[in-house]
Amino acid sequence: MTNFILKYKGAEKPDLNKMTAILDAHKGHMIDGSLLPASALIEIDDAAFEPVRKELDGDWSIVPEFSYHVPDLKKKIKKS
Amino acid sequence: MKKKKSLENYILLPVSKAFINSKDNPEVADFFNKLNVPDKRPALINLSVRNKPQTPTDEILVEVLDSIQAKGAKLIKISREELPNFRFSYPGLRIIPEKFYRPAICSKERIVVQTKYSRSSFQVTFSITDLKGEGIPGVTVVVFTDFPAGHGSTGITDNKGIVHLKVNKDKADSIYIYPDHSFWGYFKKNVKMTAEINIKLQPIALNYKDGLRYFYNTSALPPIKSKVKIGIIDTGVGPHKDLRISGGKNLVRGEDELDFYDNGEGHGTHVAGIIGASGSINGVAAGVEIMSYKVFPKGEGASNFDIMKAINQAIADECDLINMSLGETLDDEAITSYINEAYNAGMLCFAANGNDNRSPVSFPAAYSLSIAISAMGRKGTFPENSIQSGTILPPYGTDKNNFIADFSNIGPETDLTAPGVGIISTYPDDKYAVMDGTSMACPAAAGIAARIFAANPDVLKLPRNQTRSDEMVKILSMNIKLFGFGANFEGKGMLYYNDELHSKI
Repeated sequence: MTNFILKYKGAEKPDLNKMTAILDAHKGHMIDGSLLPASALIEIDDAAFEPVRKELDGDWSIVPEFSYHVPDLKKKIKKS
Repeated sequence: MKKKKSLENYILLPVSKAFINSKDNPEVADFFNKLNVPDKRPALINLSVRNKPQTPTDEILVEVLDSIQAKGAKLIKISREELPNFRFSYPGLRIIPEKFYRPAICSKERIVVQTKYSRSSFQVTFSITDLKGEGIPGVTVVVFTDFPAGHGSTGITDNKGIVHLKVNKDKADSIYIYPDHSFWGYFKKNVKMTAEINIKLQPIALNYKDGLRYFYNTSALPPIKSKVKIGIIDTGVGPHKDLRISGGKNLVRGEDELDFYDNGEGHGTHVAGIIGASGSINGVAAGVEIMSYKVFPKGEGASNFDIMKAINQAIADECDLINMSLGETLDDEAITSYINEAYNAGMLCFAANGNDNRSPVSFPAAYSLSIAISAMGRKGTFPENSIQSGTILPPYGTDKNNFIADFSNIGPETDLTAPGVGIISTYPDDKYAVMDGTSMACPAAAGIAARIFAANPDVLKLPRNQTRSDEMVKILSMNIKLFGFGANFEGKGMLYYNDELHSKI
Protein backbone atom coordinates (compact mmCIF):
# COMPACT_ATOMS: atom_id res chain seq x y z
CA MET A 1 0.00 0.00 0.00
CA THR A 2 1.25 3.49 -0.83
CA ASN A 3 0.09 6.95 0.14
CA PHE A 4 -1.04 9.38 -2.55
CA ILE A 5 -2.39 12.92 -2.49
CA LEU A 6 -5.57 13.72 -4.40
CA LYS A 7 -6.03 17.32 -5.52
CA TYR A 8 -9.30 18.38 -7.10
CA LYS A 9 -8.81 20.10 -10.46
CA GLY A 10 -12.35 20.81 -11.57
CA ALA A 11 -14.22 24.12 -11.48
CA GLU A 12 -17.52 22.68 -10.14
CA LYS A 13 -18.10 21.21 -6.71
CA PRO A 14 -16.37 17.80 -6.54
CA ASP A 15 -18.42 14.63 -6.34
CA LEU A 16 -16.99 13.21 -3.14
CA ASN A 17 -19.33 10.22 -3.17
CA LYS A 18 -17.96 9.18 -6.57
CA MET A 19 -14.39 9.62 -5.36
CA THR A 20 -14.90 7.53 -2.20
CA ALA A 21 -16.78 4.86 -4.16
CA ILE A 22 -13.78 4.52 -6.50
CA LEU A 23 -11.48 4.19 -3.49
CA ASP A 24 -13.76 1.58 -1.91
CA ALA A 25 -13.91 -0.41 -5.11
CA HIS A 26 -10.13 -0.71 -5.09
CA LYS A 27 -9.84 -1.42 -1.34
CA GLY A 28 -8.23 1.97 -0.79
CA HIS A 29 -9.04 4.32 2.05
CA MET A 30 -8.73 7.91 3.08
CA ILE A 31 -6.02 8.64 5.69
CA ASP A 32 -6.57 12.38 6.05
CA GLY A 33 -9.61 14.23 4.71
CA SER A 34 -8.99 17.48 6.58
CA LEU A 35 -8.35 19.42 3.36
CA LEU A 36 -11.49 18.19 1.58
CA PRO A 37 -13.08 19.13 -0.76
CA ALA A 38 -9.80 20.45 -2.20
CA SER A 39 -7.36 17.64 -1.31
CA ALA A 40 -7.08 14.35 0.53
CA LEU A 41 -4.46 11.85 1.55
CA ILE A 42 -5.35 8.32 0.48
CA GLU A 43 -3.78 4.88 0.72
CA ILE A 44 -4.11 2.43 -2.15
CA ASP A 45 -2.38 -0.67 -3.40
CA ASP A 46 0.33 0.12 -5.96
CA ALA A 47 -1.47 -2.07 -8.49
CA ALA A 48 -4.64 0.00 -8.06
CA PHE A 49 -2.92 3.31 -8.90
CA GLU A 50 -3.54 3.25 -12.64
CA PRO A 51 -7.21 2.10 -12.48
CA VAL A 52 -7.98 4.63 -9.71
CA ARG A 53 -6.34 7.41 -11.71
CA LYS A 54 -8.35 6.47 -14.81
CA GLU A 55 -11.66 6.18 -12.96
CA LEU A 56 -11.17 9.57 -11.30
CA ASP A 57 -11.45 10.71 -14.91
CA GLY A 58 -9.21 13.79 -14.81
CA ASP A 59 -11.22 15.46 -12.04
CA TRP A 60 -8.45 14.86 -9.53
CA SER A 61 -4.68 14.92 -9.88
CA ILE A 62 -3.00 12.10 -7.99
CA VAL A 63 0.61 12.47 -6.83
CA PRO A 64 2.70 10.46 -4.36
CA GLU A 65 3.17 11.58 -0.76
CA PHE A 66 6.86 12.04 0.01
CA SER A 67 9.06 13.42 2.77
CA TYR A 68 11.01 16.63 3.17
CA HIS A 69 13.97 16.43 5.56
CA VAL A 70 15.28 18.94 8.06
CA PRO A 71 18.21 20.56 6.25
CA ASP A 72 21.48 19.40 7.82
CA LEU A 73 24.90 20.69 6.82
CA LYS A 74 26.98 18.20 8.81
CA LYS A 75 29.53 16.43 6.61
CA LYS A 76 28.87 12.69 6.43
CA ILE A 77 31.15 9.70 6.10
CA LYS A 78 30.03 7.51 3.21
CA LYS A 79 28.93 4.01 4.18
CA SER A 80 30.46 1.22 2.11
CA MET B 1 34.86 44.43 -22.04
CA LYS B 2 31.16 43.85 -21.68
CA LYS B 3 30.16 40.43 -20.32
CA LYS B 4 28.14 38.33 -22.78
CA LYS B 5 24.58 37.78 -21.58
CA SER B 6 23.23 34.23 -21.44
CA LEU B 7 19.77 34.17 -23.03
CA GLU B 8 17.27 31.52 -21.99
CA ASN B 9 13.66 30.65 -22.79
CA TYR B 10 10.89 30.85 -20.18
CA ILE B 11 7.14 30.23 -20.24
CA LEU B 12 4.93 32.87 -18.61
CA LEU B 13 1.63 31.76 -17.09
CA PRO B 14 -0.98 33.41 -14.83
CA VAL B 15 -0.81 32.46 -11.12
CA SER B 16 -3.51 29.84 -11.55
CA LYS B 17 -5.08 28.26 -14.62
CA ALA B 18 -3.69 28.52 -18.12
CA PHE B 19 -5.47 31.70 -19.28
CA ILE B 20 -5.62 35.08 -17.56
CA ASN B 21 -8.96 36.53 -16.65
CA SER B 22 -8.99 40.34 -16.63
CA LYS B 23 -11.40 40.27 -13.67
CA ASP B 24 -8.87 38.30 -11.58
CA ASN B 25 -5.91 40.53 -12.37
CA PRO B 26 -6.34 43.38 -14.88
CA GLU B 27 -2.63 44.35 -14.71
CA VAL B 28 -1.45 40.88 -15.67
CA ALA B 29 -4.16 40.67 -18.35
CA ASP B 30 -2.92 43.95 -19.88
CA PHE B 31 0.65 42.69 -19.69
CA PHE B 32 -0.29 39.46 -21.48
CA ASN B 33 -1.99 41.50 -24.19
CA LYS B 34 1.17 43.55 -24.58
CA LEU B 35 3.21 40.39 -25.09
CA ASN B 36 0.80 38.83 -27.55
CA VAL B 37 2.38 37.82 -30.85
CA PRO B 38 -0.52 37.69 -33.30
CA ASP B 39 1.47 36.61 -36.36
CA LYS B 40 3.61 34.05 -34.45
CA ARG B 41 6.81 35.90 -35.33
CA PRO B 42 9.31 36.70 -32.58
CA ALA B 43 9.06 40.29 -31.35
CA LEU B 44 11.48 42.32 -29.23
CA ILE B 45 9.90 44.35 -26.46
CA ASN B 46 11.54 46.78 -24.04
CA LEU B 47 10.02 46.58 -20.55
CA SER B 48 10.52 49.11 -17.79
CA VAL B 49 12.09 47.97 -14.52
CA ARG B 50 11.12 48.73 -10.95
CA ASN B 51 14.28 50.08 -9.37
CA LYS B 52 15.20 52.74 -6.88
CA PRO B 53 16.55 55.17 -7.98
CA GLN B 54 15.00 54.89 -11.42
CA THR B 55 17.38 55.63 -14.30
CA PRO B 56 16.60 56.00 -18.02
CA THR B 57 18.64 52.84 -18.76
CA ASP B 58 16.48 50.71 -16.48
CA GLU B 59 14.86 48.59 -19.16
CA ILE B 60 14.73 44.88 -19.82
CA LEU B 61 14.83 43.54 -23.35
CA VAL B 62 12.48 40.59 -23.77
CA GLU B 63 11.97 38.62 -26.94
CA VAL B 64 8.49 37.14 -27.22
CA LEU B 65 8.87 33.91 -29.18
CA ASP B 66 5.38 32.49 -29.07
CA SER B 67 1.97 32.97 -27.53
CA ILE B 68 -1.09 30.79 -26.94
CA GLN B 69 -3.77 33.33 -27.81
CA ALA B 70 -3.87 36.77 -26.19
CA LYS B 71 -4.76 35.51 -22.72
CA GLY B 72 -2.64 32.35 -22.69
CA ALA B 73 0.96 31.30 -22.08
CA LYS B 74 3.84 33.26 -23.58
CA LEU B 75 7.24 31.89 -24.50
CA ILE B 76 9.92 34.53 -23.98
CA LYS B 77 13.68 34.79 -24.29
CA ILE B 78 15.43 36.84 -21.63
CA SER B 79 18.94 37.08 -20.23
CA ARG B 80 19.53 35.16 -17.02
CA GLU B 81 21.05 38.32 -15.51
CA GLU B 82 17.84 40.26 -16.09
CA LEU B 83 15.45 37.54 -14.94
CA PRO B 84 15.40 38.59 -11.23
CA ASN B 85 14.64 42.18 -12.28
CA PHE B 86 11.82 40.90 -14.47
CA ARG B 87 10.36 38.76 -11.66
CA PHE B 88 10.27 41.64 -9.20
CA SER B 89 9.05 44.18 -11.78
CA TYR B 90 6.23 41.97 -13.10
CA PRO B 91 4.86 39.92 -10.18
CA GLY B 92 1.78 37.73 -10.43
CA LEU B 93 3.25 35.42 -13.06
CA ARG B 94 4.48 31.86 -13.01
CA ILE B 95 7.84 31.85 -14.82
CA ILE B 96 8.79 28.33 -15.85
CA PRO B 97 12.00 27.40 -17.71
CA GLU B 98 11.31 25.82 -21.08
CA LYS B 99 12.10 22.10 -20.74
CA PHE B 100 12.78 19.41 -23.30
CA TYR B 101 11.74 15.87 -22.43
CA ARG B 102 13.77 12.84 -23.41
CA PRO B 103 12.89 9.16 -23.66
CA ALA B 104 13.01 7.57 -20.20
CA ILE B 105 16.08 5.40 -20.76
CA CYS B 106 18.36 4.72 -17.82
CA SER B 107 21.86 6.01 -18.48
CA LYS B 108 24.71 3.74 -17.47
CA GLU B 109 26.76 6.79 -16.53
CA ARG B 110 24.38 7.45 -13.68
CA ILE B 111 25.22 4.22 -11.91
CA VAL B 112 27.95 4.93 -9.39
CA VAL B 113 29.81 2.04 -7.83
CA GLN B 114 31.11 2.97 -4.41
CA THR B 115 34.62 1.93 -3.49
CA LYS B 116 35.11 -0.25 -0.43
CA TYR B 117 36.13 1.13 2.94
CA SER B 118 39.81 0.86 3.74
CA ARG B 119 40.56 -1.22 6.82
CA SER B 120 40.73 0.77 10.08
CA SER B 121 44.08 0.51 11.82
CA PHE B 122 44.60 3.60 13.94
CA GLN B 123 42.62 4.69 17.03
CA VAL B 124 42.26 8.34 18.02
CA THR B 125 40.65 9.54 21.24
CA PHE B 126 39.08 12.96 20.88
CA SER B 127 38.47 15.04 23.99
CA ILE B 128 36.13 17.96 23.24
CA THR B 129 36.09 20.57 26.00
CA ASP B 130 35.19 24.15 26.77
CA LEU B 131 37.92 26.72 27.39
CA LYS B 132 38.17 25.62 31.06
CA GLY B 133 38.72 21.98 30.07
CA GLU B 134 35.22 20.71 30.96
CA GLY B 135 34.09 17.96 28.59
CA ILE B 136 31.16 18.73 26.26
CA PRO B 137 28.79 15.80 25.70
CA GLY B 138 26.78 15.15 22.53
CA VAL B 139 29.26 16.71 20.11
CA THR B 140 29.56 15.10 16.65
CA VAL B 141 33.16 14.50 15.52
CA VAL B 142 33.79 13.73 11.83
CA VAL B 143 37.29 12.79 10.59
CA PHE B 144 37.92 12.47 6.87
CA THR B 145 41.04 10.54 5.86
CA ASP B 146 39.99 10.80 2.20
CA PHE B 147 37.61 13.72 1.83
CA PRO B 148 36.82 13.42 -1.92
CA ALA B 149 35.91 9.73 -1.45
CA GLY B 150 34.00 10.43 1.77
CA HIS B 151 36.13 7.97 3.77
CA GLY B 152 36.86 8.36 7.46
CA SER B 153 35.15 7.91 10.80
CA THR B 154 32.51 9.64 12.91
CA GLY B 155 31.15 9.52 16.47
CA ILE B 156 29.44 11.48 19.25
CA THR B 157 31.13 12.47 22.52
CA ASP B 158 30.04 10.81 25.78
CA ASN B 159 29.20 12.54 29.07
CA LYS B 160 32.88 13.40 29.58
CA GLY B 161 33.26 14.86 26.08
CA ILE B 162 35.24 11.80 24.88
CA VAL B 163 34.86 9.81 21.66
CA HIS B 164 37.14 7.03 20.33
CA LEU B 165 37.43 6.77 16.53
CA LYS B 166 39.14 4.16 14.37
CA VAL B 167 40.63 5.41 11.11
CA ASN B 168 42.81 3.85 8.42
CA LYS B 169 45.72 6.29 8.71
CA ASP B 170 47.09 8.94 11.05
CA LYS B 171 46.70 11.88 8.66
CA ALA B 172 43.30 13.51 8.33
CA ASP B 173 42.30 15.48 5.24
CA SER B 174 39.92 17.42 7.46
CA ILE B 175 38.29 17.32 10.90
CA TYR B 176 34.82 18.74 11.59
CA ILE B 177 33.46 19.20 15.14
CA TYR B 178 29.71 19.93 15.43
CA PRO B 179 28.29 20.93 18.85
CA ASP B 180 24.48 21.15 18.90
CA HIS B 181 24.42 24.46 20.79
CA SER B 182 26.26 26.92 23.05
CA PHE B 183 29.62 26.68 21.18
CA TRP B 184 31.04 27.44 17.76
CA GLY B 185 31.99 24.38 15.72
CA TYR B 186 35.56 23.58 14.67
CA PHE B 187 37.18 22.82 11.31
CA LYS B 188 40.79 22.05 10.40
CA LYS B 189 42.46 20.70 7.26
CA ASN B 190 45.53 18.45 6.93
CA VAL B 191 45.88 17.27 10.53
CA LYS B 192 48.63 14.87 11.64
CA MET B 193 46.75 12.91 14.30
CA THR B 194 48.15 11.55 17.54
CA ALA B 195 46.52 8.93 19.79
CA GLU B 196 44.87 11.66 21.89
CA ILE B 197 43.58 14.98 20.57
CA ASN B 198 42.06 17.72 22.71
CA ILE B 199 39.98 20.39 20.99
CA LYS B 200 38.71 23.38 22.94
CA LEU B 201 35.53 24.94 21.56
CA GLN B 202 34.80 28.65 21.72
CA PRO B 203 31.58 29.52 23.56
CA ILE B 204 28.96 31.65 21.81
CA ALA B 205 29.07 35.27 23.01
CA LEU B 206 25.65 36.84 22.52
CA ASN B 207 27.14 40.21 21.64
CA TYR B 208 29.28 38.68 18.87
CA LYS B 209 28.85 40.44 15.51
CA ASP B 210 27.93 37.44 13.33
CA GLY B 211 27.04 37.45 9.63
CA LEU B 212 23.45 38.53 10.29
CA ARG B 213 24.34 41.35 12.69
CA TYR B 214 27.12 42.62 10.42
CA PHE B 215 24.55 43.43 7.73
CA TYR B 216 21.58 44.17 10.00
CA ASN B 217 22.33 45.76 13.37
CA THR B 218 19.44 43.92 15.02
CA SER B 219 19.99 45.33 18.52
CA ALA B 220 19.48 48.87 17.15
CA LEU B 221 16.38 48.11 15.06
CA PRO B 222 13.16 49.33 16.66
CA PRO B 223 10.46 46.71 17.36
CA ILE B 224 7.85 46.39 14.61
CA LYS B 225 4.66 48.20 15.55
CA SER B 226 2.35 47.27 12.65
CA LYS B 227 0.70 43.86 12.72
CA VAL B 228 2.70 41.58 10.43
CA LYS B 229 2.28 37.83 10.75
CA ILE B 230 4.85 35.23 9.64
CA GLY B 231 4.05 31.52 9.48
CA ILE B 232 7.06 29.28 10.08
CA ILE B 233 6.65 25.79 8.57
CA ASP B 234 9.31 23.76 10.34
CA THR B 235 10.18 21.53 13.33
CA GLY B 236 8.07 23.72 15.65
CA VAL B 237 9.15 26.82 17.56
CA GLY B 238 10.33 27.30 21.14
CA PRO B 239 9.56 27.62 23.90
CA HIS B 240 12.38 30.11 24.47
CA LYS B 241 12.56 33.16 26.71
CA ASP B 242 13.47 35.40 23.72
CA LEU B 243 10.54 34.25 21.57
CA ARG B 244 6.87 35.11 21.76
CA ILE B 245 4.75 32.75 19.69
CA SER B 246 1.31 34.05 18.75
CA GLY B 247 -0.09 30.63 17.84
CA GLY B 248 0.16 27.81 15.37
CA LYS B 249 -0.70 24.19 14.84
CA ASN B 250 0.99 20.82 14.79
CA LEU B 251 0.12 19.29 11.41
CA VAL B 252 1.99 16.01 11.95
CA ARG B 253 -0.44 13.09 11.68
CA GLY B 254 -1.09 11.41 14.99
CA GLU B 255 0.42 14.16 17.13
CA ASP B 256 -1.31 16.68 19.41
CA GLU B 257 -2.28 19.59 17.15
CA LEU B 258 -1.75 22.06 20.00
CA ASP B 259 1.87 20.99 20.45
CA PHE B 260 3.43 23.35 17.93
CA TYR B 261 6.63 23.70 19.98
CA ASP B 262 10.02 22.51 18.73
CA ASN B 263 10.40 18.73 18.38
CA GLY B 264 13.84 19.06 20.01
CA GLU B 265 15.91 19.34 16.85
CA GLY B 266 16.05 23.11 17.19
CA HIS B 267 15.83 24.02 13.51
CA GLY B 268 12.48 25.84 13.71
CA THR B 269 13.44 27.65 16.92
CA HIS B 270 16.65 28.89 15.28
CA VAL B 271 14.71 30.08 12.21
CA ALA B 272 12.15 31.85 14.43
CA GLY B 273 14.90 33.63 16.41
CA ILE B 274 16.47 35.02 13.23
CA ILE B 275 13.10 36.56 12.43
CA GLY B 276 11.66 37.65 15.73
CA ALA B 277 13.87 37.05 18.80
CA SER B 278 13.72 39.84 21.36
CA GLY B 279 15.76 39.64 24.57
CA SER B 280 19.35 38.50 25.02
CA ILE B 281 19.61 38.55 21.23
CA ASN B 282 17.36 40.19 18.64
CA GLY B 283 16.11 38.96 15.30
CA VAL B 284 15.70 41.22 12.27
CA ALA B 285 11.98 41.71 12.86
CA ALA B 286 11.46 41.79 16.63
CA GLY B 287 7.80 42.49 17.31
CA VAL B 288 6.50 40.48 14.35
CA GLU B 289 3.78 37.89 15.06
CA ILE B 290 5.19 34.38 14.81
CA MET B 291 2.94 31.44 13.97
CA SER B 292 4.48 27.97 14.32
CA TYR B 293 3.29 25.27 11.90
CA LYS B 294 5.01 22.06 12.89
CA VAL B 295 5.40 19.50 10.10
CA PHE B 296 8.52 17.55 11.14
CA PRO B 297 8.09 14.66 13.57
CA LYS B 298 11.27 14.21 15.61
CA GLY B 299 14.01 12.51 13.57
CA GLU B 300 11.78 12.04 10.53
CA GLY B 301 10.89 13.80 7.33
CA ALA B 302 7.85 15.99 6.79
CA SER B 303 5.09 14.74 4.52
CA ASN B 304 4.27 16.99 1.58
CA PHE B 305 0.61 16.55 2.56
CA ASP B 306 1.32 17.94 6.03
CA ILE B 307 3.15 20.87 4.41
CA MET B 308 0.04 21.48 2.26
CA LYS B 309 -2.05 21.49 5.45
CA ALA B 310 0.40 23.95 7.03
CA ILE B 311 0.14 26.38 4.11
CA ASN B 312 -3.64 26.01 4.19
CA GLN B 313 -3.64 26.79 7.93
CA ALA B 314 -1.39 29.83 7.39
CA ILE B 315 -3.92 31.09 4.83
CA ALA B 316 -6.77 30.54 7.32
CA ASP B 317 -4.77 32.35 10.02
CA GLU B 318 -4.20 35.30 7.65
CA CYS B 319 -0.42 35.25 7.69
CA ASP B 320 1.37 37.82 5.54
CA LEU B 321 4.46 35.73 4.90
CA ILE B 322 5.37 32.06 5.06
CA ASN B 323 8.90 30.86 5.79
CA MET B 324 9.83 27.44 4.40
CA SER B 325 13.42 26.59 5.31
CA LEU B 326 13.10 23.18 3.69
CA GLY B 327 13.50 21.64 0.28
CA GLU B 328 13.95 18.56 -1.85
CA THR B 329 15.18 18.01 -5.38
CA LEU B 330 11.86 16.65 -6.68
CA ASP B 331 9.26 18.96 -8.16
CA ASP B 332 6.09 18.65 -6.08
CA GLU B 333 2.78 19.45 -7.77
CA ALA B 334 0.93 18.98 -4.47
CA ILE B 335 2.73 21.84 -2.72
CA THR B 336 2.74 24.00 -5.85
CA SER B 337 -1.02 24.24 -5.81
CA TYR B 338 -1.01 25.49 -2.21
CA ILE B 339 1.73 28.05 -2.89
CA ASN B 340 -0.63 29.31 -5.62
CA GLU B 341 -3.45 29.43 -3.06
CA ALA B 342 -1.24 31.43 -0.69
CA TYR B 343 -0.31 33.89 -3.42
CA ASN B 344 -3.99 34.28 -4.34
CA ALA B 345 -4.71 34.93 -0.65
CA GLY B 346 -2.27 37.86 -0.50
CA MET B 347 0.74 36.22 1.14
CA LEU B 348 4.27 35.53 -0.02
CA CYS B 349 6.13 32.24 0.45
CA PHE B 350 9.87 32.53 1.13
CA ALA B 351 11.81 29.29 0.56
CA ALA B 352 15.43 28.21 1.06
CA ASN B 353 17.50 27.50 -2.08
CA GLY B 354 18.89 24.31 -0.48
CA ASN B 355 22.34 23.27 0.75
CA ASP B 356 23.63 20.81 -1.83
CA ASN B 357 26.90 22.53 -2.71
CA ARG B 358 25.94 24.71 -5.65
CA SER B 359 23.40 22.24 -7.03
CA PRO B 360 20.25 23.53 -8.78
CA VAL B 361 17.74 25.37 -6.58
CA SER B 362 15.62 22.94 -4.52
CA PHE B 363 11.84 22.72 -4.54
CA PRO B 364 9.69 24.62 -3.44
CA ALA B 365 12.18 27.51 -3.78
CA ALA B 366 12.52 26.71 -7.48
CA TYR B 367 8.80 27.28 -8.02
CA SER B 368 8.36 30.67 -9.63
CA LEU B 369 5.77 32.00 -7.13
CA SER B 370 8.15 31.29 -4.22
CA ILE B 371 10.79 33.84 -3.22
CA ALA B 372 14.00 31.77 -3.45
CA ILE B 373 16.87 32.69 -1.10
CA SER B 374 20.56 31.81 -1.48
CA ALA B 375 23.04 32.04 1.42
CA MET B 376 26.01 34.39 1.57
CA GLY B 377 28.67 35.01 4.19
CA ARG B 378 31.16 37.62 5.29
CA LYS B 379 34.80 36.96 6.18
CA GLY B 380 35.61 38.04 9.73
CA THR B 381 32.13 37.32 11.12
CA PHE B 382 33.06 33.89 12.51
CA PRO B 383 36.08 32.64 14.49
CA GLU B 384 39.18 31.26 12.80
CA ASN B 385 39.06 27.44 12.57
CA SER B 386 35.28 27.48 12.94
CA ILE B 387 33.18 25.26 10.65
CA GLN B 388 32.24 28.46 8.81
CA SER B 389 35.85 29.04 7.69
CA GLY B 390 35.36 26.05 5.38
CA THR B 391 32.40 27.62 3.58
CA ILE B 392 34.32 30.41 1.80
CA LEU B 393 34.23 30.01 -1.95
CA PRO B 394 34.01 32.40 -4.91
CA PRO B 395 32.20 34.29 -6.27
CA TYR B 396 33.09 37.23 -4.08
CA GLY B 397 31.04 40.40 -4.15
CA THR B 398 32.03 43.94 -5.00
CA ASP B 399 33.43 43.94 -1.45
CA LYS B 400 35.78 40.94 -1.61
CA ASN B 401 35.03 39.96 2.00
CA ASN B 402 31.51 38.95 0.97
CA PHE B 403 31.03 35.50 -0.58
CA ILE B 404 28.30 33.09 -1.60
CA ALA B 405 28.45 30.09 0.78
CA ASP B 406 30.00 26.97 -0.73
CA PHE B 407 26.94 24.92 0.27
CA SER B 408 24.31 27.24 -1.21
CA ASN B 409 22.34 26.00 -4.19
CA ILE B 410 22.25 28.41 -7.09
CA GLY B 411 20.45 28.96 -10.36
CA PRO B 412 18.20 31.27 -12.34
CA GLU B 413 15.32 30.73 -9.88
CA THR B 414 17.26 32.59 -7.15
CA ASP B 415 15.39 35.76 -6.18
CA LEU B 416 17.44 37.12 -3.27
CA THR B 417 20.48 36.41 -1.13
CA ALA B 418 20.81 36.86 2.64
CA PRO B 419 23.29 36.05 5.43
CA GLY B 420 23.38 32.30 6.10
CA VAL B 421 26.88 31.56 7.39
CA GLY B 422 27.61 31.43 11.13
CA ILE B 423 24.27 32.78 12.36
CA ILE B 424 23.62 32.95 16.12
CA SER B 425 20.02 32.40 17.15
CA THR B 426 17.71 30.79 19.67
CA TYR B 427 17.71 27.06 20.49
CA PRO B 428 15.26 25.06 22.65
CA ASP B 429 15.54 25.21 26.47
CA ASP B 430 16.60 28.88 26.43
CA LYS B 431 19.90 28.03 24.74
CA TYR B 432 21.61 29.60 21.73
CA ALA B 433 23.24 27.94 18.74
CA VAL B 434 25.24 28.78 15.63
CA MET B 435 23.84 27.35 12.41
CA ASP B 436 24.59 27.70 8.71
CA GLY B 437 22.41 27.20 5.68
CA THR B 438 19.98 28.67 3.26
CA SER B 439 17.60 27.70 6.11
CA MET B 440 19.08 30.65 8.01
CA ALA B 441 19.25 33.00 5.02
CA CYS B 442 15.56 32.43 4.26
CA PRO B 443 14.22 33.81 7.58
CA ALA B 444 16.73 36.67 7.44
CA ALA B 445 15.14 37.73 4.14
CA ALA B 446 11.58 37.00 5.29
CA GLY B 447 12.14 38.98 8.49
CA ILE B 448 13.48 42.03 6.65
CA ALA B 449 10.54 41.73 4.25
CA ALA B 450 8.21 41.86 7.28
CA ARG B 451 10.00 44.99 8.48
CA ILE B 452 9.63 46.58 5.03
CA PHE B 453 5.89 45.79 4.97
CA ALA B 454 5.47 47.18 8.49
CA ALA B 455 6.88 50.46 7.18
CA ASN B 456 4.34 50.35 4.31
CA PRO B 457 1.07 49.74 6.18
CA ASP B 458 -1.06 50.60 3.12
CA VAL B 459 -0.07 47.35 1.44
CA LEU B 460 -1.06 45.38 4.55
CA LYS B 461 -4.52 46.95 4.42
CA LEU B 462 -5.21 45.73 0.87
CA PRO B 463 -7.83 42.99 0.40
CA ARG B 464 -6.26 39.56 0.66
CA ASN B 465 -5.96 38.59 -2.98
CA GLN B 466 -3.39 38.26 -5.72
CA THR B 467 -3.11 42.02 -6.18
CA ARG B 468 -1.96 42.30 -2.55
CA SER B 469 0.82 39.76 -3.25
CA ASP B 470 1.80 41.60 -6.42
CA GLU B 471 2.02 44.88 -4.51
CA MET B 472 4.11 43.25 -1.77
CA VAL B 473 6.60 42.02 -4.38
CA LYS B 474 6.72 45.47 -5.94
CA ILE B 475 7.52 47.07 -2.58
CA LEU B 476 10.31 44.58 -1.96
CA SER B 477 11.76 45.34 -5.40
CA MET B 478 12.33 48.93 -4.27
CA ASN B 479 14.41 47.80 -1.28
CA ILE B 480 17.05 45.49 -2.74
CA LYS B 481 20.78 46.00 -3.25
CA LEU B 482 23.01 44.01 -5.59
CA PHE B 483 26.19 42.63 -4.01
CA GLY B 484 28.01 41.85 -7.26
CA PHE B 485 27.87 38.03 -7.10
CA GLY B 486 25.90 37.63 -10.33
CA ALA B 487 22.21 36.90 -10.84
CA ASN B 488 22.56 33.12 -10.62
CA PHE B 489 23.98 33.48 -7.12
CA GLU B 490 22.07 36.41 -5.64
CA GLY B 491 19.02 37.04 -7.84
CA LYS B 492 18.16 40.70 -7.46
CA GLY B 493 20.37 41.08 -4.36
CA MET B 494 19.80 41.56 -0.62
CA LEU B 495 16.80 43.24 1.02
CA TYR B 496 17.51 46.35 3.06
CA TYR B 497 15.49 48.31 5.52
CA ASN B 498 17.64 51.38 6.12
CA ASP B 499 20.87 52.93 4.84
CA GLU B 500 23.24 50.77 6.90
CA LEU B 501 23.57 48.13 4.18
CA HIS B 502 24.80 50.55 1.53
CA SER B 503 28.31 50.83 2.97
CA LYS B 504 28.70 47.04 3.27
CA ILE B 505 28.56 46.02 -0.38
